[in-house]
Amino acid sequence: MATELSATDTRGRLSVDLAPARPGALLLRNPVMTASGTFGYGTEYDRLVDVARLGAVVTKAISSRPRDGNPGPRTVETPAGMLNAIGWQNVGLEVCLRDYAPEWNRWSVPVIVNIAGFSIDEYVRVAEALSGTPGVAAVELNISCPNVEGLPFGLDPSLAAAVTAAVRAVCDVPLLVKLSPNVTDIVAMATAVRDAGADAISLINTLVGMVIDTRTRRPFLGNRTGGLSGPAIRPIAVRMVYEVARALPGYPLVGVGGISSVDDALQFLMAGARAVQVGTATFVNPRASLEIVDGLYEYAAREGISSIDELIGCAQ
Amino acid sequence: MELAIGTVRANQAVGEGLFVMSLDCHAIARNARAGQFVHVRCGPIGSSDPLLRRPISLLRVAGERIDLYYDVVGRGTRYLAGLGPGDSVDLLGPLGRPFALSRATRNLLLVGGGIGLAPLAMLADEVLSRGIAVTLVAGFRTAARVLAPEWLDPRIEYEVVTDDGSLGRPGRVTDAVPAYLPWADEVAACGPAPMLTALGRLMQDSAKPAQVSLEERMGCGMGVCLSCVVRTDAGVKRVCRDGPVFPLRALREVQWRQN
Repeated sequence: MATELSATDTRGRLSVDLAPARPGALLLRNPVMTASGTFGYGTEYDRLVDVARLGAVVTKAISSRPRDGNPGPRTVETPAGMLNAIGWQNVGLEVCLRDYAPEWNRWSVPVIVNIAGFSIDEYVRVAEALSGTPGVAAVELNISCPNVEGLPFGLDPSLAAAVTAAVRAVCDVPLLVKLSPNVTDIVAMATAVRDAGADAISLINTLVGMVIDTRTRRPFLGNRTGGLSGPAIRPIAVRMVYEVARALPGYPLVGVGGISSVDDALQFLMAGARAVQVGTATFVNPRASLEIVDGLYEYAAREGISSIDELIGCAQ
Repeated sequence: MELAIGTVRANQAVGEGLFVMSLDCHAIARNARAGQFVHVRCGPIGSSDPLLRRPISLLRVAGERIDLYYDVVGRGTRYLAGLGPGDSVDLLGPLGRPFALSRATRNLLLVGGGIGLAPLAMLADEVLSRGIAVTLVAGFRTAARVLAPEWLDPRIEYEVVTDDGSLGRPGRVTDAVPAYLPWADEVAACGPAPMLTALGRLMQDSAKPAQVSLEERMGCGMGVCLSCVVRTDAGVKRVCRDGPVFPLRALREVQWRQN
């Protein structure tokens, strides 16, 4: 019962503030979120997951127009992971605003809308429309999708800074930017995005990979390459969170990459993340995120932790 | 749908590389309808390799028992084939949209290819008690892979077709279909894409209702990961959630993936 009470209390021992520069704008009752692309628009798992118990819900990427996505095959299993090349299939901004935002507005859990774009102009248009829409608590810029053509915003610090600054200028809600791991210097990317006005950074998106079908002697995926996710990438993600947290102390980071258990989530918090996102694990175990919430409350009780701040970055 | 642990009662080889796994799982058995599938975790509970669940069709539901018909094609199904009575299996289901027959149907023709026979056998179980006559035309690669008639309700008229002619009628399953079409009020089919393409061609000018259940590689099974999409006349659809059963007419053969 004590767990249930604290689970709905944003001043509880697991609550986190992901946008301290805008007090109260993005308070999470616990640090566990869904990861974009693995939880649809928040409604698909309603029979199995009570979203009110999550810290936040992050949606599938939304683009200005609906998109059909890439030709198949779109995914393939790999050792302890999977490659995907969906290609931003989504319902588009209009349907998002008309059909989903009113539903999110009825929820107590904050909904963070992930935004896809092929140009700075498209990111700006989508962010501007979402900002101030009831039901949209924050936006997360997806500048790191490896499966679509377009400017490599996530691979170049100056491009990343430019799109972040342009969106920041039109966006009144908290702004998260999700970084690609497919770079040489993740700290340079994080610093550029922070300096351009992001409230928080999510890291990491998927790593570019390929599987070749030896029967057909061709790349397996229709898109040839895809993004690797799942437990296989977790140590890379933990390392990148650790490096960025060391370089940008006190700046809010959201750790994502292969988290499927409470121990995985704790690794990210201890590396320096203020919150975590559960992605591919949800495909395997739809309740993985809720089990991690429960596990964190149990851990905090067992270890006598009164505020999650005691854990964040403690491995540094 | 539910997340549930099933307990294996039997796991029998029923053909070359083919198995029927019978599990006790009340949570899934009580809600399952023909055409739906179960998303099965194919590794020890807690293991992350192999990572993803495998969609497997229900062959039959009886009381608390569900029967899953599967072909051993890779690591996941190889793991399943090694399980025995008493073992636990992590199940998510029942998932997907079931078959929905026209109320007027009296004579139902089922067309199955390989393990595509499973949802059709379950559909037969559902409708035979309503007095509907059922013919199942089922194609297999070879005699060693034919499902024995003991697995089917004896009231089903069961015609076997093999690619190599080693049992039943030789040739493609769709070669046997035209003889039954005048008799049938409705058609339901499940099998590989080339079989469904051929069926679509056969029924091009027919006004009879026809539904097909698609087999696709899946990730989540819940309509979220967008792995299993197909292009239909009504746009991109998710096999796991918008299907797996679709009206045949909604699927133009040129848009089906060939593999």
